[in-house]
Amino acid sequence: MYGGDEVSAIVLDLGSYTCKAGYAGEDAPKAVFPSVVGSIYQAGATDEVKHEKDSDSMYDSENADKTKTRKLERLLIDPKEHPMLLAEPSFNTPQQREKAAELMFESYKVPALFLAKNAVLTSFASGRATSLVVDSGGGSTTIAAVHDGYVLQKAVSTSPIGGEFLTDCMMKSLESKGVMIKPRYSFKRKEIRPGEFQTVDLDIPNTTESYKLYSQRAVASDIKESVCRVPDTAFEESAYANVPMTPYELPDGQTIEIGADRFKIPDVLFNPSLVQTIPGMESFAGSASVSGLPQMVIESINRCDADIKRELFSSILLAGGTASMLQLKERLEKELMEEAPQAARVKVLASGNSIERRFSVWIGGSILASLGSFQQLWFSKAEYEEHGVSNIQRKCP
Amino acid sequence: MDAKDILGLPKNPFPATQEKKPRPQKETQRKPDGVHREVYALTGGMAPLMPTIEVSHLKKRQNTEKEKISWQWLPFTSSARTDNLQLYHWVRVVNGVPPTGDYSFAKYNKSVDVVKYTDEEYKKHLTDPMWSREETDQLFDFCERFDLRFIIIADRFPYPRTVEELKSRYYAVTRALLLSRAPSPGDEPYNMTHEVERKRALSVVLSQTKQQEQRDAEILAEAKQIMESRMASKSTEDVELPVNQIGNEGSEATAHAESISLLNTNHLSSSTAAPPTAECTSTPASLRMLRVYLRTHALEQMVQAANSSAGLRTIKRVDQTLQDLGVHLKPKVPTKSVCAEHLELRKEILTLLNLQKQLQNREAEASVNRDNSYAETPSTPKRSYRGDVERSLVPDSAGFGGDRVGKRDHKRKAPGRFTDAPPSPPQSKRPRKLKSSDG
Repeated sequence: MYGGDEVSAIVLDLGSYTCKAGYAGEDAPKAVFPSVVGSIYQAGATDEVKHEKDSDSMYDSENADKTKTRKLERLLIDPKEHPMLLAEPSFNTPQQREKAAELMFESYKVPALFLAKNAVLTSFASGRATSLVVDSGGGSTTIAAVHDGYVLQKAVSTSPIGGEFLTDCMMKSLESKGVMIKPRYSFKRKEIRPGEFQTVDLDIPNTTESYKLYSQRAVASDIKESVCRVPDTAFEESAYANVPMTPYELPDGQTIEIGADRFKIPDVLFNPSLVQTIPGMESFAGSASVSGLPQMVIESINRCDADIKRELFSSILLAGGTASMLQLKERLEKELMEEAPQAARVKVLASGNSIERRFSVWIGGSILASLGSFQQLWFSKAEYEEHGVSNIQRKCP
Repeated sequence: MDAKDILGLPKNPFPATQEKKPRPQKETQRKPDGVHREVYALTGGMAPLMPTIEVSHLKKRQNTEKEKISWQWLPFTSSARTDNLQLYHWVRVVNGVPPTGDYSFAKYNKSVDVVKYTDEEYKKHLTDPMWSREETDQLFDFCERFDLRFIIIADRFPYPRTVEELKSRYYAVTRALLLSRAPSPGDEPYNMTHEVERKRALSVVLSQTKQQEQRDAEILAEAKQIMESRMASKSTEDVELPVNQIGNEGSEATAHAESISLLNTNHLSSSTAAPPTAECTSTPASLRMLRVYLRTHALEQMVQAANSSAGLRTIKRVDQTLQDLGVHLKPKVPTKSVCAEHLELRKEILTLLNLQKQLQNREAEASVNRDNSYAETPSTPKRSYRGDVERSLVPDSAGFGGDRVGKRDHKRKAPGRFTDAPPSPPQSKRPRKLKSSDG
């Protein structure tokens, strides 16, 4: 590596759906696990599942602490020996950053720390210093403009529609059609004859509602990932009423047919008001104020300085798990070309590999932390002790 | 080749089967053992010219090197850091001596030199009603932190300021400081208004919706059309009418300038371009200004319309032909039927001239081909081409009257082939029919 110098830094990306951790310099995180925390109440031996949806709770509550501890244990490392690069959301407030820094230095005693914004890391992962990053992850979708390696904070916009939301839509839609999704733990398949299976229902007492929901969601998200496709044009009920159904086999053996929902659910990204038509989801309150992806992109670019708009239009990056949805890139490009002025050439980029799209934030962190010229930017423990935690704002822009 | 070899098919359809057997044998014999045929084919089927790696070398050369090299995980410091954080990395240790010197990447730690001012200097040179001391201090702090990336500075600046204001203040302060310290003029000062204007225009361009852009494009296309039609009518009018002696480009240019400004009100085509001529104040024809037209004016308009596709030289030739025929360029008694016949005549002459020109071209090509054909083998395409040439030339020749043969010869460059073709009545009938269809 020409510009590289490994110092065995650790890159941590605590996302809203999965957490990724691994060594800098590698091309994929070693530890990927869901951002859920199970807590056992001392009163009864029940498990609760809490999902870290809000970034506040990432750094505030003990849950975040537990997540981090778990992660570090999985990696089998001693945090005292390794500098840490943390990926943080692009809209993180200064207070949250300071809390995170305190946590890392006091509890884990890391020698050096750096907080980098997700959008910047994604941009670096694709080799660009200036781009517009559309990060469509589990919990939310964030659009941020990066210029010369810095996030333009006035141009950041988020939408609560993310992968989890689409999974919920899928679940509700299937429920309304009468399909019962059995969580994985609730049955066992016995082979009575070669090739033929019989499902036996198990009854496991003391499973909580939240765990059941979590397991059901896992099945629904698998359905979503395998079957759903973004339609080429805006979704209309009439147009897709006669589309051929796709079969999908659930883990317990029953086969379901999915027709128009294949296209309807991903189109929620582009047209959030579609959510109202899904039975069971009408209570989604924010759909009036939330706009679709192309509108958010254009709004974000318009808030930036006129000199860089053209460059932003021609380097729009897609990242996140939901960005791996089929045809998302083509549809987004098409919609943007219609809305954008003709003087700007619209180009949406996404790495072909779905692993790279999911972990692009982590990969960007890996690249950054293993660069020789980055080693002077760490916020070290000595600096923390000398100048206090607020110095992090200066050191990690 | 290789695929056929694999399939066992004969390599060439024609050579005898005896060739097939020794050839595959030769192929396989040439391929060395131990190397797959496909890998061998990657190099182009030939052995490498130079030995790449010799296995004997790999086995022999162990530790005959003089130096002892090992890699160790050692701590390091960097001069680019202000604290003495010690990180660890792999270091190539030669003979037990770790490398000395600064961290190799420390030399990339470059930053922008932002001028610093003292309180005195601020009070003397740098006070500004629009900027407070704190803001200026903050600005310079940000400039240093963000290496003069003004877009990011504007994004993060706590007070609401545009990029242009920040730049303007920074450059003004720096310029004043440099001037006060060492009096040399330096470059052109930052022109804030120009920048603001430029940026505003750019944002307008970039935020136009599709409909606006389409409308703009339509309007521009219309303007272009109208300009072109005006140019056509202008140029031919000035050439044709013997009344006006003006044909200078200047009047035309100003006329066009006016026409562009009036484009929203005019959607006329060239044949009915009468009103615009009245609006051109630069043409000194007083008749026109009073909207009085000669009877021949309409005729001239139609002549220009007919001539507009022709070009100046052709128009002159048409006029020349008319004069040679003894016809006035402008009919003496411009009644309706007379004018109609005059126009008809002009059109026919135009057609004549066009056909003559085509004839010339074809003849030139034919003669070129004839010259070339001595070198090449005669094949059917050439013959048919010449046949086409001859066939196309026959109707051209037949239509002309006897008195025009001489003129034709005079006009054509290549030696004619038709002086022997008599204009027989049936042939002459055919072109007449063509011409009546033209009229």
